[in-house]
Amino acid sequence: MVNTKVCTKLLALAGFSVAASTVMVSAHGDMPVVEYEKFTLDNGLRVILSVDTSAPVVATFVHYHVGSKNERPDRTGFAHFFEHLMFEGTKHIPRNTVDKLVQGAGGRLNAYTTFDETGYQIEVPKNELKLALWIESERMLHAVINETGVETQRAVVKEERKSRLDNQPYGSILENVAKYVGAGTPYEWTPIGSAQYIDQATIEEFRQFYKQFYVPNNAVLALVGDIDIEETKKLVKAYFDEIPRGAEVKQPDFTFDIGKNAVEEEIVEEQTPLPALIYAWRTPQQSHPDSYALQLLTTVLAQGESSRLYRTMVDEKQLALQATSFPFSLEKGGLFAMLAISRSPAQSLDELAEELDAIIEKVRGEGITDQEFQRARNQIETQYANSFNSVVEKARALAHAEAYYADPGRINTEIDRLMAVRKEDIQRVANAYLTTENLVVLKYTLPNR
Amino acid sequence: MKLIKGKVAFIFLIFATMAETLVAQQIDRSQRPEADLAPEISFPPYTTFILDNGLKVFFVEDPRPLVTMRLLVRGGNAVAGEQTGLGDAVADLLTKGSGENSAQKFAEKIDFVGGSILASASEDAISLRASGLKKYIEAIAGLFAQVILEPRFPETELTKYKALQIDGLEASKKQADFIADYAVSKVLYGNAPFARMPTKEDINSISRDALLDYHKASFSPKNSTLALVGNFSPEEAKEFVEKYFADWKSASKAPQLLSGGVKIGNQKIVLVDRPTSVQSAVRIVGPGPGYTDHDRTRAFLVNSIFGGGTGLGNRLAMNLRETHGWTYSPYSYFTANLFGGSFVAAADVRNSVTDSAIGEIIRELERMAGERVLAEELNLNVQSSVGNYLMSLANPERTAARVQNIDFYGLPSDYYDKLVDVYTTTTADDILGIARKYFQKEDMAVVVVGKASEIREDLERFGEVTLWNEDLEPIRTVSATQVGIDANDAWEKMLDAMGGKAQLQSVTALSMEGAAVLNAGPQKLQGTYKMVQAYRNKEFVELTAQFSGQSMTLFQKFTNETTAAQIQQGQKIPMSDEDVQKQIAAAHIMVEAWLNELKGGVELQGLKEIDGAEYLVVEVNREGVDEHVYYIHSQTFLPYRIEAGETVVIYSDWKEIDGGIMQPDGLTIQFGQVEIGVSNISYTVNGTVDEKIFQAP
Repeated sequence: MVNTKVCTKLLALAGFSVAASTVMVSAHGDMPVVEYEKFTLDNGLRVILSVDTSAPVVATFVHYHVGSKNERPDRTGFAHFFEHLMFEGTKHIPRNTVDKLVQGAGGRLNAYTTFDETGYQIEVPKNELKLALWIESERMLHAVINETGVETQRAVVKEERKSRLDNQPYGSILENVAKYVGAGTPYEWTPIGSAQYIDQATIEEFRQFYKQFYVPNNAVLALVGDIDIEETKKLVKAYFDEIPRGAEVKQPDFTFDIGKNAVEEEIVEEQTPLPALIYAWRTPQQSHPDSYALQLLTTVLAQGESSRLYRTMVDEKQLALQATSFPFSLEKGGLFAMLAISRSPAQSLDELAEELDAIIEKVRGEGITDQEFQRARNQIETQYANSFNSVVEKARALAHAEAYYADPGRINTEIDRLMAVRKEDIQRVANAYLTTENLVVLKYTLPNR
Repeated sequence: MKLIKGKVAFIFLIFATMAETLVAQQIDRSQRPEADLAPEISFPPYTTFILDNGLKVFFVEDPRPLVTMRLLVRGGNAVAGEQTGLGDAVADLLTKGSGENSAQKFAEKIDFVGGSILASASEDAISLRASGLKKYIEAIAGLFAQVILEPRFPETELTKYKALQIDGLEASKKQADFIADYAVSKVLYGNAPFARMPTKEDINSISRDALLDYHKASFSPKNSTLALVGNFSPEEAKEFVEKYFADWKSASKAPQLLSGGVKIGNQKIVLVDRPTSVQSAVRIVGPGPGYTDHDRTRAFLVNSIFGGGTGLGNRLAMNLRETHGWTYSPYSYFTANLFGGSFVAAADVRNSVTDSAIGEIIRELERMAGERVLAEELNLNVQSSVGNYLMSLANPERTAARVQNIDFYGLPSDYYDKLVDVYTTTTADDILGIARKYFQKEDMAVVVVGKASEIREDLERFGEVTLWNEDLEPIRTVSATQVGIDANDAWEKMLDAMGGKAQLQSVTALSMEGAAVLNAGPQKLQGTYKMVQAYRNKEFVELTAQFSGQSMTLFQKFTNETTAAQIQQGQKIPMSDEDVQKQIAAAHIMVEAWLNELKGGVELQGLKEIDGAEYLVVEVNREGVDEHVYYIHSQTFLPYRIEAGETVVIYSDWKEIDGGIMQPDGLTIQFGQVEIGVSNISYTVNGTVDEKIFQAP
């Protein structure tokens, strides 16, 4: 009853959930294959269409290849701020009506900003496909960027920060992890950024950002649902063809230096309910083969009640209310993290650290058992079979694969790459990345009350 | 030639332009595109069958390589008995040892095949969900059946469960939302065992025998239903279920459920005092339609208009967020269980606008029940509700759960077939009628979790305020006439407790210094707090803090008989003449002992219970100074808490210092969002004081 509620809530608040890393899917064995069609408009917009008739609905997903890593260090929070501005209205869509239009049609819409990308998703009954295309093409063609909209969203973003970060237990984990793991790279700040920079920016800077990044040649449109491919192609052209191509967008070029990044930091916040310990290591970018081995490693360590972290720390020794690990893979680098929340206010973090250290040492020294290896493979397979439960998830995965790999079909072969990981690879990556020289330690301790 | 060619090209260009114009006309960007013909909506197909032992099964086909099963067992936390949280414990411990498997062995087996089996309890049911790949489903179903038919509830696991729940409860109780949920529950259901906040004692008193008894009585095929989703034919589905559940025997009779229902008592304004709150969790609650009430579906439309459909600009959001900017996401909902239905409207707002926000929510409820909704607003919400329903049909697990719920709550079997019709035929009069039925002032209550010392008085304009503590127990307050001691007596006793009036008056200089912790929002700083006072109105206060190894002065206050100043981070704070006079008056040394001479008056407000201790609440008034409220301990007569305007000071650990007078070892100063905790305070009485210290630089 009580505890599970708290745990999931605490983790969700910390801004992490395993589902947050975009999961790709599989053509492995009996897994269904996602069929799709891809074409490119003259203005450079890449379009992917896929038919799914499980319900009379259709989803659009627009992926702009701009995230917080594209920001200037003295203008952090810009990409996320834009996600908000794009709901302010366009030349033909009055202010604050985007939500109303979609929800009034019985649809849903959402948007998010990560370190690498900004994504817009709309899901509507299939007879409202044109509405979704109209909204997304209007956003790309002529979003209205004026003082009214900027002022309104400045206030809204500050409130969002307050409710998501400042007032939430462990709300600052992502910021602190990014600060130390991403140190010296554009990953050292998070998408929410700093309010002061948004306050300092001029209207001209916002217009320039739009002109630079919200161009068809920096975007992918994926469309999945109960559609007629030929008819939909015509509609997409009708709505998007006239949008002018922009200048080529240059992505920042960097990689993480693995190692030489050890930091230990104590964080005291009024809203921390229980002491917590976070370990985070730098790992390679999402396209690197080792990122697959790291996914299996996290499964062994943290998935299910027979996983090493749960078994030792929560069940046997009863030191932690929750203990988990997760990989976080981005375009230019990644991280692997472990998190343990103390059972009680009096619980010392040293004891938690001792256990975490022993667990890491064991996997580095002895690797994993045959049984654990097979278990992880089975869990991963199940997870992947579950990852396409809606047309929106499919559209997002297709757009993602196109944006980063120029190959939407990669979603059908992702499971093969996971299944290609060998047992010894898991020990190898633990030794390569989970080192003390590469370790960032964050200690959330309780305020003196 | 050339010319002609040019002409042809020119003509061709005109055609091309025309063609483009035609395309452009197809999409008139200035208008919202017209919707195509709405798709047919029909509830997805499903199959129902009943095993010989009485287990009812609902099956929905799904082409994906996954299988899910959901067993719904009637009873939940409401199986007769006074034990709170028994259903929760049963649900949690089902998977902690069954058949030949220990909890650990079970976890290994289910994890090995990538499956999951989870159970949870609500007020009226326990539900268990199993899922996994179809190729491993035999192993998963075997474990699922074992959990349902032969759980062992080992003592060792029960002990661990209790310890974890008690720790979890402590952590949860620090969150206002958690307290608010249970406060709402208590207002709706009173002290019904299935609805109240569990206590440590509740958790500790759960026995293995009680778990076994619960299982024996409730876990029976006739008291349960199963929903199955997967890539089977209906025949295969039946065979599959029979393989695992045909041998399950029914208990002789179904378990008795507790009776209960939504009933708002006489406590219309409940305030849960959470002294650390900077925000109030406001909940306005009332009755709602039960599952089988005919107006339940349309009540969802009422809610969508009122506080449900966020993006549609519902009234709650338009008012509280858009117009007033008091809160980020207010919301409301109707919910129901076997005991009836209820309504909740919720908003988290800062202390100072708590009563205003409540006033506005009530105003919106009255508007909903008093005025007919406009056609446009109604249509928007109807369209949205129909569309949401349509989109939900893609999820076969949801379909199966819906069919199962129809059976569980006794809804008509064509409920979902008629749903769209019910939505689309709803009129503005229907909406008005439903709002009038449920949004009646005398049937509703206001629940607030917040800082009583700041918001209580404001709430009194809505009616008599019932005060609860964080354990949701009434805080006993006694009015002044019942206390049996008058204010002057209380004040004298306080002075005696502090060392005696004469001793206190003999203090002409007092210095104190302690370690300080400063909390301002997410920031937390370590530092020192220092105060020096001299007869009569001389005072110096200084707060310093450590910034990356460096000590910085954050705040200084200077008072010197006729002058007063405050410096904050190096900046002088502008003060009016009145501010200066107030500061001088307030700076009087040992002011409590001089109250008579200063022509101050005391008035007893009553007796208040806080954390098990009783305090006399005494209001102190004297000219030129803001009103102060002293909380004096009813046994020790030492002051515990002083409220002055927006500032609250709480004293702890009184100790004897030089001159036989008593002073606190620790104190906490709260001012708005800022809190300063001072500990290990050392004192010097009548020592030498450099008078220059009282003069601002």
